[in-house]
Amino acid sequence: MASGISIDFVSFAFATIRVMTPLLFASMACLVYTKGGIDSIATEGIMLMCAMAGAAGAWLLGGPFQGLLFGMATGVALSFLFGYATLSLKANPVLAGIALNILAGGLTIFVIYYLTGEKGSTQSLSSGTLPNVRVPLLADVPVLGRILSGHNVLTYVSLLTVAALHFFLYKTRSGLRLRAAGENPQAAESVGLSVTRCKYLALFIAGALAGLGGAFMSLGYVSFFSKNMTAGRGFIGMAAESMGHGVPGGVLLATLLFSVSDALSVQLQMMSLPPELMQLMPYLVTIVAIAVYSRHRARRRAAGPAADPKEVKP
Amino acid sequence: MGREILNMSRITKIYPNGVMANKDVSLSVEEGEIHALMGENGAGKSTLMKILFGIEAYDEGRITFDGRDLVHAASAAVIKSGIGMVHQHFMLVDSLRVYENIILGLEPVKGPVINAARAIAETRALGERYNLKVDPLARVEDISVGLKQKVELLKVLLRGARLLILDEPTAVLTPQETEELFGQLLLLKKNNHTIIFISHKIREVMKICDRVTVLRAGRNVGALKVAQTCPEEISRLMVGRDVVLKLDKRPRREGPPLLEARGLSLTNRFGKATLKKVDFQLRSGQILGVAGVEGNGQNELAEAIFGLARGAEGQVLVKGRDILGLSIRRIRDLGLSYIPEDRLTLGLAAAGSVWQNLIPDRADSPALKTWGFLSLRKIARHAGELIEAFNILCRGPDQEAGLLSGGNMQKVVVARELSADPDVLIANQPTRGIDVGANEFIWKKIVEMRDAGKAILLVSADLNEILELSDSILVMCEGEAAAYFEDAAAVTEEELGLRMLGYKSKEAAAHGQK
Amino acid sequence: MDKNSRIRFEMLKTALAVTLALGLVFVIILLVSREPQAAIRSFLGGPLSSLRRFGNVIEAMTPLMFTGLSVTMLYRAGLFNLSMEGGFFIACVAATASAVTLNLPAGLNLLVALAAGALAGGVSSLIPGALKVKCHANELVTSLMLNYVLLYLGLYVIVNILHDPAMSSNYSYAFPSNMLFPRLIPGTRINAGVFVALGCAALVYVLLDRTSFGYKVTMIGHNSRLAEAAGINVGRTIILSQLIGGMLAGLGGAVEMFGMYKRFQYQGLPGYGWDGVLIAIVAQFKPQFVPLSAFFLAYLRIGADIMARETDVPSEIVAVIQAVVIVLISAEAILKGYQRRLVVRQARKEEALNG
Repeated sequence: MASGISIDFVSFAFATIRVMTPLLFASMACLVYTKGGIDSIATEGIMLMCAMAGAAGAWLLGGPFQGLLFGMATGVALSFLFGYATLSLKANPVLAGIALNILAGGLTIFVIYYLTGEKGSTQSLSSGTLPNVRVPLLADVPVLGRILSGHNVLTYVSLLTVAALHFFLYKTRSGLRLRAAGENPQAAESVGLSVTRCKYLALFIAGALAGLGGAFMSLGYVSFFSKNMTAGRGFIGMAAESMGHGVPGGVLLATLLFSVSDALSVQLQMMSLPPELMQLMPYLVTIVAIAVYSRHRARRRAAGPAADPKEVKP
Repeated sequence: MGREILNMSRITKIYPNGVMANKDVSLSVEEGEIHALMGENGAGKSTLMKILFGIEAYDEGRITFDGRDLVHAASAAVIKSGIGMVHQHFMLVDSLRVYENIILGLEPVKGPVINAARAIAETRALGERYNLKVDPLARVEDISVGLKQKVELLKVLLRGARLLILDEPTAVLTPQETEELFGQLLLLKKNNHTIIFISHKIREVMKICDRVTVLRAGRNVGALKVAQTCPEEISRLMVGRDVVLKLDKRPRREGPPLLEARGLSLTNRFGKATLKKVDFQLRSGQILGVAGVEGNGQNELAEAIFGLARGAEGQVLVKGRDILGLSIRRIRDLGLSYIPEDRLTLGLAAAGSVWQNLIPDRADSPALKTWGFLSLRKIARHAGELIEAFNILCRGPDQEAGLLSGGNMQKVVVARELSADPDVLIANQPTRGIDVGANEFIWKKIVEMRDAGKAILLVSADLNEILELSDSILVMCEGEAAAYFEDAAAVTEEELGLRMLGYKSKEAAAHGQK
Repeated sequence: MDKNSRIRFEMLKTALAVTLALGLVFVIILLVSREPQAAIRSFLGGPLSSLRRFGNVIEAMTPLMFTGLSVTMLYRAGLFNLSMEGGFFIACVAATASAVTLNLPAGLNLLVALAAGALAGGVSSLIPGALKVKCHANELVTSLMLNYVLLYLGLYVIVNILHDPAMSSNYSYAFPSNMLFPRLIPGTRINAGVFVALGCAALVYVLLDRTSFGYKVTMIGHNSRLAEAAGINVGRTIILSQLIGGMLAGLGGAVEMFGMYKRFQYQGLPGYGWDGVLIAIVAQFKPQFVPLSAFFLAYLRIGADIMARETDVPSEIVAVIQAVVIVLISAEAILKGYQRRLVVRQARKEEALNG
C-alpha cells in the first residue's frame, strides 16, 4: 500500500509538470502582454491557432522542429494582428480579443478540413513530436530523477522562460522600456521613447510564447491537433497572471496551483472520484483568490479620497 | 541674453471635440531668460506647450528653435534639439525606481544589461551639480510631490535640455518647496539655461521672471518685460477684467445657519491628513468663499461634506442633523447640491446626451414619468426648459454632451445642480476653464441663489472669483482653516495671499480667526 | 454631431464592416474552393431556397436573440462580464433538472423549468458583478473562470444525477413531452420560443430606454463616477443589471431546451454567449436592433451549413465574418478622419458666428 502511494506520487508530480508546460507558456505570454499594457484575452485564440499551425507546419515542412518554428511565427503574426487592430485601428481590446478567439475556433477547423478532409483532428497526418529529454545526472537521482527528468524538451524551455523573462524585464534596457511604456505610456513618450515600438516588442515576445504553448499542445503533449484543444488554457494564463501579482515568480506559483489540481483531477478520476468536480476546483480557487486579493488592494487604496490632481481638459 | 532662441508663430489648434484651444498664438523667447507664460486655467497655455513639445499636433503655424525649423516634430526630435518639459501631471512611472525613471531612454548598458551602478552614480552626480538631491533607489510611488518634481527636473537636465518648460510647477508645492524651486531655477538660469515658466500666479512671475507672455481664451493678448509692468496690468490682461466680471451684489440678508462643520478631519490613502479639524458655519443668504493654493484641502473639504470622500471624521450638520456617512442620495434629499471640480470626471457623461446629463439626480422623480415609465416627452420638455433658462448652446437635448464647448458643458452641470433647488450649494471651481460669457452667467446664477436665501460654499482657486462673489471667506492652508474673514469686502488681495501662504500676521489673527 | 448624423455614421460603419467581412470571405472561397460560384450561391441564397431552410434560420435565431440581449444588458453598465456563455449552459442543466426530477402538472412544469433556467443564468452573471462591486475584482477574468466552473458543475450534474442509463452518451432523461414548445409551422422546427425571445427584446427595450432603472444603468456605463455623485446607488444598480442580463441568457438556455431538444445533450459550452457579443455589437447595444442582428448571424450560419453540405467549403468560415465584423465595428479609428473633418468644419462655423 505504501509503495502504491509513492508510485502515485511520482507519476502525479511528473504529470503536474507535464500539464504545467502549456499553462506556463500561456501565463508568461499574458505576463508580457500585461507588462506591455496590452489586454491578454487574445492569448487563448492565438494558442489554438498555433497548435494547429504547429501540427500543420510539421507535416508540411517535414518535422516537428519546423512545425514549432512555424507555430511561433504564427503566434507572432497573430499577436501583431491583434496589436494592429487595437493600437492602430483603436478597436476595443476585449472585443478584438473575443473576435480573435472566435476566429481561431472556426478557422482552425476550416484549415484542417482542407488538410485532412475531416473536422475533428489531424491524427491522419504524421507530424511527429518533439523529443523528450533525459537530463544527465538528474535522471539518476532517486525519486527526483523520475519526476524531473524525461520531460519534453519544451517543458524545460518553459521553465527557463520564467528565469529569462525575469532577467529581461528587470535587468535589460528593453525590459525597462517595455515596463515603462506599459505602465505609463505618456511618461515613456515624454522621454522620447516610441511606445508603439515597446508595445510591438511585447506583442512579439508574448506572441512567440503563446506560439510555443500552442505548438507544445500538438507537438509534445500529443502528436496531433484536435479541435478546440487548448480548452481555455489561455484564459487560465490570464488568471494566473492576475493571481501572481505580475511578477514571473508569482505567476509561476499560480500556474503550479492550476497544474496540481489539473493533475490531481486525472489521478482522482483513476480512483473513480467525480473528475468534473476536481476539474472545476482550480477555476473556483482562482475566482476566490482574485476576489480576496482585489478586495485587499482596493481597501488599501480606498483608505482616503483619491487625492490625485485631476486632469482639466479644455 | 538677447538672442531669440525660440519662436512660435501664429499657432492654431482645434481639438477633436471642436474646442479651439489656440488661435493665432505667437511666442518669442530669448536665450538665458526666465519667460513666464501666463493665463487662467483653460487659456491654452498647456496646449501651446504640448504643441511645442510635439505631444499635440497643431493645425496651423510655424515653430523655430535655435534657428532651426521644428516642423511637426515628434517628441523624440524635440528632446534631441535641446528642449525639455516638466509636465504639470508628472510623467513618471510609479513602480520604477527614481534612477530608472531618470535614465529611461538613455540607459547606460553593459552588453544587454543596464549598468545600474553607473546610472545611480550619474543620478547622484547630476543631483549634486544642480542642487537637486534625491534618493536614486527610492520607488517613485513612495516619494513626495516635491521630490517627484526634482526627479522630473533631473530627467530633463540629463537629456541636455537648454530650454526647460515648467508647466505650473508650483501648483502642487508647499511654500517652502516653492522657494527651493525658485533657487534652483535661478541656478539654472545662471548656467545659461532658458526657462519657460507657466503659471497663473502673478506674484511668482513678478519675483523670478524676466518677461511674460499672456494668453486669454486661446489668444495671445500681450508680451511684456516684467521690470516694466505691474501686477495689475498682467492681471487685467489675464482675466480681461475690464471687459466683465465685476459684479454688483445686493447687500446680504442672512438667515439661520444651514451648514455647519465641526472638527472636520480627513486622512488620505497615503496616511496624510488632508483636513485638520476644520470648523465653519454657513448661513442662509451667504456665499462663503473657500480660498487657498491648490492642494491645501479645499477639494477634500468639498468632497468630504458631500460624501464623495469617505472616512471623514467630525461632524457636518445640515439643519441640525449630522450628514457624515450618509449616502449621497440622502445628502441630496436633505437639500444639498454639488458642482464638482472637474466636469468630465464627476460632472458629466461625455458620451451621454444633453438630456441624459440633466437628470441623473432626479431619474426617479414622478414629474418625469407617466404610469411609472420614463416619459421621453416630459423629459424633453424639462431639458428644453433648462437649456433655455441656462442659455446652453446646443443643437437640442439629443446632442452628445462631450461635443459641447467647455462653457456649455459647465452650464449643463450648473443647470442640473441649481434646478435641483437645493438649500445648500457646494460649488467646487464652478467656472474653471470656461469662457467669459459663461463665467459671468454662472456667477449671476449663484448670486441669484444667494439672494433667494440659499447658502453657497464656493471653493475656487481664482482669487478674483473669491473676492467678487463671497460674503465671507475661509482660507485653507495645509488642511487647516488658516483664517476666516466675516466680511469679504474688507479683505485685500494681499492679505488673502499672505494667509493662503500660511503667514500669520498678528492683526489678521486677531480680527479673523475663530 | 447631433443624434441623427451620429446614427447615420454608426450605420455607415456597420454596413462597411459587414461588406468588408463578406468580401474577405468571398475571396477566401474563391481561393480554396473548386466550385466557388456554387459555394457563394448556396451560402447567400441557400436559406431562402426552401421553407424548411428558412425555418432553420428562425430556429437558430432564438438562442442568439437571448444571448444578444444578455450581452446588451450586461455591457450597458460598462462591465465586461462574459458569464453569459456559462450561464446559458448551466441554465440548460437547471431547466433539465427541473423538468426531469419534479413531477409537476403540465404548464406549471414548463413555467418552473423556465424560471429555474433564468434563475441559474441570473446567479451566474450576478457572481462576477457582485465581486466587481464588492471586491473590485476584474469581472473579465472572474467571469471567464466562472464559465469553466459552470461547465464542469453542469457536466457533473448531468453525468452523475440526470444521466439516462439507456443512452450511450452523456444525455439526460427525456423531458416530459407535455413540456415541449409546440411547433408552429409544419415542416420546420419553428416554435413558440421565438416569440418569447421577441417579447424579451421588447421588455429589455422598455426596461433600458423607458424606466429610470435602465436610464441609471446607461449612465453608470457612461460614467459611473457621475452616477455616484448624482446620488445613484451604483453598486446595487450594477448588481441588478448583471442579474437581469444573466437571467436573459438563462431563459434563452431553457427555451432552447424545450424548443429544440427532447433531452439535454450538450457535451461542452455551446458558444451562444460569444455569439451574443457579435449580435450586441452589430445591434449597437440597442435591444430593438437585436432581433435583426440575430437574424443576420443566424442567416449566415444556416447559409454556411447549406454551403458545407452542398459544396466543399466548411461552415466554420462564418467565424471569419464574425471576427472581422466585431473588430471593424469596435474600431474607433475607422472613419475617424471623416468624423474629425465634420467636427472641425462645425467649430469653424461656430467661431465665425460668435465673431
